Amino acid sequence: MPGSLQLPEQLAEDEKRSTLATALRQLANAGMKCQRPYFGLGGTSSFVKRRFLVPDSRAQTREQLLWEARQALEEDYDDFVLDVLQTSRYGFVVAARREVLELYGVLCRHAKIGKPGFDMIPFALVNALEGGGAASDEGSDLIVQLSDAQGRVVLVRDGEFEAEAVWEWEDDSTLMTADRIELLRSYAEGLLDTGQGTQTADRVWLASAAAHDAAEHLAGLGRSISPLDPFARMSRRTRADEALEQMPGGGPALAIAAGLAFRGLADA
Amino acid sequence: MIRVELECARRRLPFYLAISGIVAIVVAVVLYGIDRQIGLLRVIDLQGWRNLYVQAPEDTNKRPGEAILEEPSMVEVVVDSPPSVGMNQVAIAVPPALPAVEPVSTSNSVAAPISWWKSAQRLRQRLPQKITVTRQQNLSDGTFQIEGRAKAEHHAALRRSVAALRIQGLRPTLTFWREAGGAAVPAFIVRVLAGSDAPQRPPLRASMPVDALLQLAQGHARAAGLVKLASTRPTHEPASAGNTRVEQGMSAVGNPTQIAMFGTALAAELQARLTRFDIEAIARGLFRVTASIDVLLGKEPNR
Repeated sequence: MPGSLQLPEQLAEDEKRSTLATALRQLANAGMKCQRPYFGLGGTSSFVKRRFLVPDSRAQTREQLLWEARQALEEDYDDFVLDVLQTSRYGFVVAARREVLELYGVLCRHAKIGKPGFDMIPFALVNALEGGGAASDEGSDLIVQLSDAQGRVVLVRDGEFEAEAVWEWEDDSTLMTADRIELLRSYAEGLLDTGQGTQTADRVWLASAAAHDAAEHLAGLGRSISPLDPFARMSRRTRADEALEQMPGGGPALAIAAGLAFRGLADA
Repeated sequence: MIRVELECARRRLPFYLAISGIVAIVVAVVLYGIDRQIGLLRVIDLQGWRNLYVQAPEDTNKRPGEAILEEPSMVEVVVDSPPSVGMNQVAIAVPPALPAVEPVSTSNSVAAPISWWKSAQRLRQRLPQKITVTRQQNLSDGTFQIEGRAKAEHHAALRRSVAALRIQGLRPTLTFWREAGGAAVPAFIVRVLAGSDAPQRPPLRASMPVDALLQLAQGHARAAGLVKLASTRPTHEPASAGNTRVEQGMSAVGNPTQIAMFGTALAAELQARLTRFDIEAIARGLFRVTASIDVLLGKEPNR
């Protein structure tokens, strides 16, 4: 496939959507078939908003969160697909633009790869952590996932999703410059700030090749810093191990994809 | 495992709207079919309901007391193409000939409906609605005429309507003129030579009182509720074989329903023949009707 596509914005362009559909069909013809493709949502196409719980009532919490979402979205309410995530501490409104989901649907129909499923990227990372067997019901986990364009840190506390920070890099560099390290640390410390000072995460997980490169600069943010290998609990053939080793970033670079796949397996 | 549901069900039209749309399409197709095969207006017959009514005058340029002249001074005259020759008269069917002479004793019986006296009203329905009609004339020889006023922007539509009459086999002429007084809205006359279902001859009477025709017409006028009855002197003209044709004219004022009743009664009258039936708008909702009836005085054939 020539170049790369910026999703989901370029899905709206017929030519580029057609190019991607052709590539997906070629992958399917080459043997990479799936019952249902899953797409990770982030950026402007979706949002996760954290709110408080209504005590002892999941139903009322859900109702309250959806009501708040309707008030906040006002006339744009019908443009979004909404759901609610409840943990023991917080309630989250999860929203995705309906038009974007429809564009993914069009893409899948053109590529003939089945009806698409969706998940939020931070949730996929949490699921990858759980699927890889690294999740813990106690303590805090900080997942760091960096790419050329943006950075993301996800805070998991006692095994539950708690917060996410996403930012765009302010420079065009492909390296982890000092400015990028400073920006990364500021967002990570912001997540770990309890209001009474910044706590140290019990575990920091590196979920991309760039995050692995920045590991030495994350000292002090967590008691342990480790690559997030979503396939750690899976018994793999040697050829799969070899393929992962040859891939830049290895298994951690596939953390989001693995999280989406685990979600798909759970839905199946 | 976090499992939020972000399924994107396709937005669909509400069921009732979809059903309404389908029903509307079906109805439209059915109506279109009826219109093509039969003609919706023929089924609904809205025109028929309106045939008995003429349009009230709306000419605000007309000065109080100003009359529309039969022969106005013509500053500008546009005459449409001359009557077509040899075209079929299909608009008005001529029924079988009615008996010309009937015994006096059958005066209360009802003959076959005669409708020529409503031809101008029917013709009005084929002309643009935005014109103002001030007078309609119906003659038993099959000549009908509509007078009125039409603003310049409606002249083209009026011409098209008249042209359509010609296509239908009638022989219309259209004349525009502007009065010398400078009325802003041009006047027009549409004359049509069509068919008539009037009896070919007036009833033949051996004798009759002098004012019998007038009393006959006035009796129908009063029965219809018309007011302001007025009469003209009867005319006498020699007819063939030593007979004399006597014609009596009268006028009255009433609303469209009353005028329609009057016309129906005169047209169905067997003691005399209706020869003229004109309607002129004089105020909103009120009209002056001028009618003429005639008889043939002479020796009845069976005596």
